[in-house]
Amino acid sequence: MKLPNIKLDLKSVGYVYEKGGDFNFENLSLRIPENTITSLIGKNGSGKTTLLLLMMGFLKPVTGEIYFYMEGKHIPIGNSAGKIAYLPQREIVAKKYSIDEFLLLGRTPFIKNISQPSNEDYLIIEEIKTKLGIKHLGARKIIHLSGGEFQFVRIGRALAQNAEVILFDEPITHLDIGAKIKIFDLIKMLKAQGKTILFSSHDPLEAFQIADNSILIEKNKGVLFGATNEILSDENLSLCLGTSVKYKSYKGQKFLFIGK
Amino acid sequence: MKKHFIFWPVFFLIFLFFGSLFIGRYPIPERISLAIENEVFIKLLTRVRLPRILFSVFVGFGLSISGLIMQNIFKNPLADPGLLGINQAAGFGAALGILLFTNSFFTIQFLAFSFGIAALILAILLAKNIKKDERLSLVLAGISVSALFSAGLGLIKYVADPLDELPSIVFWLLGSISNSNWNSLVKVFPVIICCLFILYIYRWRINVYALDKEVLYSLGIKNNAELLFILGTSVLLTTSIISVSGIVGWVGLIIPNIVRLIVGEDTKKTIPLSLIFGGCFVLISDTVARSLLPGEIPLGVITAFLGATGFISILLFQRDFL
Repeated sequence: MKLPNIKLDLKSVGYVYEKGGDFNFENLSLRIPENTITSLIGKNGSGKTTLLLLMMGFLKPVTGEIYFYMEGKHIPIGNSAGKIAYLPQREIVAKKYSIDEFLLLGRTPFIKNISQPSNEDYLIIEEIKTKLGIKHLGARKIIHLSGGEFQFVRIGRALAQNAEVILFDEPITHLDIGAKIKIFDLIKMLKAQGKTILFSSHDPLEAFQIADNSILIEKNKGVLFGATNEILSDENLSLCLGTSVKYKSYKGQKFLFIGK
Repeated sequence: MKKHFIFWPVFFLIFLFFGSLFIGRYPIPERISLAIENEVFIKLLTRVRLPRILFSVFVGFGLSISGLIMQNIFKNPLADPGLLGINQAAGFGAALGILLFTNSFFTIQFLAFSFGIAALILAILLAKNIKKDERLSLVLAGISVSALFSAGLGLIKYVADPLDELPSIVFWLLGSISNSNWNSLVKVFPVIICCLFILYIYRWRINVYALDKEVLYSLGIKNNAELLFILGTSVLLTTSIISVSGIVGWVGLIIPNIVRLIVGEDTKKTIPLSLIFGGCFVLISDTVARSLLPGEIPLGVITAFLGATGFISILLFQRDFL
């Protein structure tokens, strides 16, 4: 069996959240395989966003190094220009942008700073809209989209920037059920196209639904990483979330079991 | 063939430009032949009205573009050199220049620019330390900075020579381009045109700064160098205009907001259109300023009147403005 390539390689990473504070992460080593879906599970404020920002190079680790696998070699994360897309949890964008104008912003790495988008850029945007099935949204403005539609458009921007890794901060948290299912399907489709996806959540159920691997973060204590079903055991989750939880399987799906 | 969206606005500006040449308090000769023979009229057109009209158009270009860029960069439709305190600070710098060095053009320009930049930095730092909604913080900080420099201006007016310096400072502060002539334009035009050109070629790129800094990083924009360059250029543009025209307010606030209502947010469209609308707005205002009454009305009074009226109607009738 061929071992999958390691897409993101964190080597004994340490990071201090605020100067003089505790180490949020200490001696953290993770190897995220290419073409997988990984969830980051933890309580609010446990450092999920911080870890995502470290993985894209926006935050610099105090100790250790992070590498990104591209074109057959491992390069320092800082040189991965444009290949790692980050979608923040709450993104506020000037509301009068149309969908096309917003998607074009994803082409920034390919457009020189004093040039204009080319015809090719516009074609790529059209292709992405077809692929995501958001053509019907037409010329609507960003402000008039629903939460789920806006997530689609943002993923479209990540595709426009030709990202190989998509870091998604709480993509599903505030969506209604219909939109959740659509986003799950879309994330699976992205994986089928060879993307590596990491998303954060405080709900293990989201991880059970789609994540191959999971990262379980307990604030200032440690980080567990491995196959979702192994890592997100009732024991680990109870310890990490600070409350006793039980998940039951029914027809291959997991449910949160409330009560004794 | 569908005409480019900028076609009619440009056409309108050109029409205004030539039309306003013939508006004024000097009677227009009845026939063209008479006009050509009338040396006074020709001189009036080429030496008085033409430079003034040309300058008024560039005042409009510059102020509206600076306003637009600040609104985009600060993600705040209220950001404008006036509200951020840059106008007052540049005014303070220039008045200081008039007081200390009376006629040194470049010193006045330099002081206006330095104080303008200082005011912007002060407003940004202040806004960062106000723990309120970001948009509100910036506006509050701008108002405070503006008030500080107004106080400074008051002091300068107090110590200025009431017979000589004071009237020129006061009239200049109200905003007027009545004494623009080719000599003064030649000095200020190179800077203005360079700044306008730089900002114009960045017209698509400025869009991207609407995104969060983490997203910018993931798109390969890893530092603020370009942002600061664009911001500095628009401050230079504003202050070099103000050091000649005095404080002409409201252009940078009202024009970009009207333009955004019409064509949306994309700076690839809003920058060219703000240029043209700004040019028209100041040209019309200045034409009114010089021809409505027998005496000259300060330009800043007209732009403030028209601008504030327009702004009030946007506030009242455009619900999702903020």
